[in-house]
Parts: sequence; C-alpha cells; structure tokens
Amino acid sequence: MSGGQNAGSTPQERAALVALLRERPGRRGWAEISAEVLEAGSAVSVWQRMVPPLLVNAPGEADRLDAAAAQIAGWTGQGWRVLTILEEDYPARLRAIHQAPPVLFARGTVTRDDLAVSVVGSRQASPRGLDVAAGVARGLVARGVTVLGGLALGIDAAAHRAALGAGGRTVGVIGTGIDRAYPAPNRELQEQIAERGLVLSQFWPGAPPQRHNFLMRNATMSGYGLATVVVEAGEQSGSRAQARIAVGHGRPVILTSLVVAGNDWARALVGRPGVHVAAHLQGVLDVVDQLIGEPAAVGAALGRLALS
Amino acid sequence: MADPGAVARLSAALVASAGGYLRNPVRQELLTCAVCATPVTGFRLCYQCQRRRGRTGLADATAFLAYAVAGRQSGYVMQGYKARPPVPEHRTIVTLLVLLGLARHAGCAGRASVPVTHWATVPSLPARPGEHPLHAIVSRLAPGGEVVLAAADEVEYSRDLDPGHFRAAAPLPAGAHVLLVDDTWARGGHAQSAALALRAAGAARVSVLVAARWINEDFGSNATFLRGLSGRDYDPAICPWTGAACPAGITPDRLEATDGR
Repeated sequence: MSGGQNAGSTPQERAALVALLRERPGRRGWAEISAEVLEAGSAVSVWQRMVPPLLVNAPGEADRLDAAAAQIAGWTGQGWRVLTILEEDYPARLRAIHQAPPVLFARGTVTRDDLAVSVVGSRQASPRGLDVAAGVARGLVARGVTVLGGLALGIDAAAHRAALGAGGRTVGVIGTGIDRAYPAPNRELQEQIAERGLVLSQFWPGAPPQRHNFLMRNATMSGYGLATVVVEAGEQSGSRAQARIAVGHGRPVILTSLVVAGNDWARALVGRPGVHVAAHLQGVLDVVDQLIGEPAAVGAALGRLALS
Repeated sequence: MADPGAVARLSAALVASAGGYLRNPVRQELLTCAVCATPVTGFRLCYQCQRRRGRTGLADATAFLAYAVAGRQSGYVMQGYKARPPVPEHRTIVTLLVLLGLARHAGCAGRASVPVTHWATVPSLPARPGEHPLHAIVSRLAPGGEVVLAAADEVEYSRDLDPGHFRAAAPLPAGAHVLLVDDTWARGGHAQSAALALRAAGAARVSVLVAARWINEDFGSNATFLRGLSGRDYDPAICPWTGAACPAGITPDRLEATDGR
C-alpha cells in the first residue's frame, strides 16, 4: 500500500483529528477516538458524525476545526512534525498495538518501517549494566537496527550515546511534550538525537512530566520496536512495566540473566510467550538475529502448511 | 495432511507473537454459554442463544479459537486484519490462528458424527465487493469442496437471524456436512443465518468454526471472568470444539511435545 494517495494525510483530516482529541465528544477516551477514526478511515467523517454543528459560533470563538488547523500550523512552525495515525508515514509497527497514540509529535527523521529494538533499564545503573547497554546498542547498530530508548538517565542514556557514538540511528520516546526535556541533564542528548535520529512524543506540546505519562510512553516504546531488551532493572522500575506491556502486545522481551536473578517480576515473566533470557551480550544479539529472521521463517512454514 | 513440522513451527510462532494476549475459550457448563462460549452466570445458554433455542436448522456444533476483547489487543487485531488497508501484523496473526485451527481441529468437527465434506465462509453483510480476507485465508486449507455463500445486497437488520441474508450458490448433495467459518461472533446472527442458508441448500450437518468470540468487558461479569484468565496464555493444542482435549475416537494430536513454550 505504499505510494498511493492517502486520504488521511490532508490538512483537513489532521485538523479534525486534533479537534476530536481536544473535544472528546461524549467524553470518549483517546483510544476510543483512535479506533473510530481508524475504522472510518477518516477523522473528518467521525467529526461530522460525533460533533453536532453549532448554528452560530459564540462571539469571539473561532470554528473548532479552524482553531485546530491554526494550532497545527503553530506547531509545524516550531519545526515539529505532527503525524496522525491515519497517515502513511505513521510508524507501521506502532500502529499494530491497541495503545497506538492517535497523534505523534516528532523532531528528526521519521521512518515508517523503522526496525528498532528498545534498550531499557534502571536509572541508577551499575557500571556493568551501563557496559552491557552500550554493547547491546553497538551490536544493534552493527546489524542496521535502530536503538530505541526512553531518554532516561542510566541504561537508556548509555544505549542512546553508544548508538550515536557508533554512527547508528537512535530514537528517543519521551514522556513529556516534544518541547520539553526531562530529566534536565539529558537535554543535550535529546538535541543530538533530534538532529541525528528521532525524538517522539505522544503528548500535547507543553505537557509536563507525570507518572502516568511514562507508562503510556512505555507502551509506545513496546509498540514501536521489534522487541524490548531489559538490561538491568529494579523491582519497581519502568522497565518492569514495559516488559509486561510488551507481553500483552505480543512483542518479544529479552531479559538479561542479571535482571532475572535480581527480580521477582522478571522470574514471573520467564516462560511467558515471547520472553527470552540471555546470559550475556552475544546471547541478546543472537535472539535479536533470530527475531529479525522470524517473518521469513514463518512465511516459509506457512508455505509448507497451506497453498498461498 | 498438514505438514507436522510446519504445524509445530507455526504454533510456536503464534504463541510467541500473540499467546500473551489471546485466550482459549472456556467450554464449561453454567460458566460459559454452551453454544457461544460467552460467560454466563449459572445458565446453560446466554440470552441471545436462549432466545433462538428450538429454531430448527441452527448450527449443530460451534467452536471458537479465541476470545477477542473490545478495546484490547485481541479485539484490535480482529478489527485490524480486515481494516482497509489491513494492518499487516494483524493479518499474520489471524492467518496463523485460523490456519492452525483448521490444520489441528477441522477434523474434530467430524469426530462426533460424520466427516466434513464441504466448507464455507460467512461473507460481509450487506455484500461488499472484493474477496473477504477470511475467505482468502480459509480457502488455503479448508477440507472438502467449497459452498459459495452470497450475502444479500440490502438488509434491514444485519444482526437478525434470517436465512434470507445469505444464499448458497448451488444445492448440496444428500448427507453434506459443512464446516462454516466466520471471523467474529458478537451475537451470532451472521453465523446462524448462514447456517440456516446452508440448511436451505440441503446441508445435513453444519459445524461452525469461529476465529474469535467477541467480548465486551463492560457487560455483566465479563471483566471478572477475563481477569480469571490472566496468565493463561494461548495454546493452539486446546480443541476449540471442547475447550480441552480433542474429541475421542481419533488419533491423538501428537504435536504437543514440539509446541512452542
């Protein structure tokens, strides 16, 4: 389906989707709006169905669609790309999870079929953990795989830096608005990633760091990537949340034996579908190689099972 | 018959890529509806199936490969596989689910009675142009000859039970046992109407195999029921006709040993 006209990428469609998310007709959640829009293949038609037209705008109140269009123009004027789930350039893997954000804000190079692997872990990482994170990142770069992280301190930052250092692509998915940097010490790193890779946010510009946002961000990372590698983590970490979310998405999880040894939640995940344990760096990369080859292997087995 | 190595490999692939969120339907008297596997509280049948009870010509047997929960990954996949354009990952999951269901359990439909002689898929209602994605999947592996079902161009209430909603292209020979395949069962109106249409064409027996029983978490005790299934990852060896082992009187499925983790 590449190439052809895509009705979802017109300015009217983009404005209608932003207006729907602002308005939330019938107090619908974003996921519900997203599903309706995907099913209809058009935000404009959903808007027309859900939002009764006002006979007369209140004095001084612009038309809500015009207001949304003006807001989008303001955002793009800042150099941010606004990408809706109806657009062909929306990250393809991310679209396949039910928590796919209806709108993404991007700085950097958007690649629809980005082959990426999340490298996540503790903010207070040990020197060994940081080493493993950097090694995994370099191994991914050597395979042409994008290093995906959450731009957190510790493991995430080590993986992002190693990817940049190796001349590879890295993507940071942040838990705040696209115009903010959190935590502050990673501001410079975020700028570098925007320049040479991609920074993504699913929140309105200006959104402050909030606990719930980081969980939603983890779901987005699970969806964007081919798999999640948890390098080093504690009992109450965001990595734990991402690993569980990934199993619920049907996305593979690679736990280092360091993580399994130190955490009850990790031991509980061992044996669940798509969960792998790797004893060392090479073990992690072996699983990644196997996952990259999986679609072709499945295709071949399907060919043996049934006519195509 | 199906290549056992391919079946084992694909079973492992389905479990690895969807086992964390797909759940095998429960077939247990008074816990789930005896016809459609939706949770019930102390009744043999759910409201919809009870209402239709006694009508002649409905499906003789029903089987469900998985639950699809509205607003969750399982429900999203069942919508995305036939979205326009489709979500490729969802297409792969549904292809694996249905083809493995056919490879491993189509034969189970005939074990209690007579072997399956024909197959059909439930078309979109009202009729839509182009091949239905489910038909494209099922036609790769379905047993016996196809009975082409056509949907009416216009219907008043598509969810109603009405043999006029579908029509078989040709009459069936005496004694025909049709395996009717559908993608999603919400209230069962589509599949049961198609069963009536097959009956009108002369089918002696109709067995319905459905990819997903649609579940709304907000309804009744469904949320509690689904919570009880958490951690019970999908297992393609579980027979969709029984919710347990394949029916007796057959060679046991020897693939379990090589299945995915």
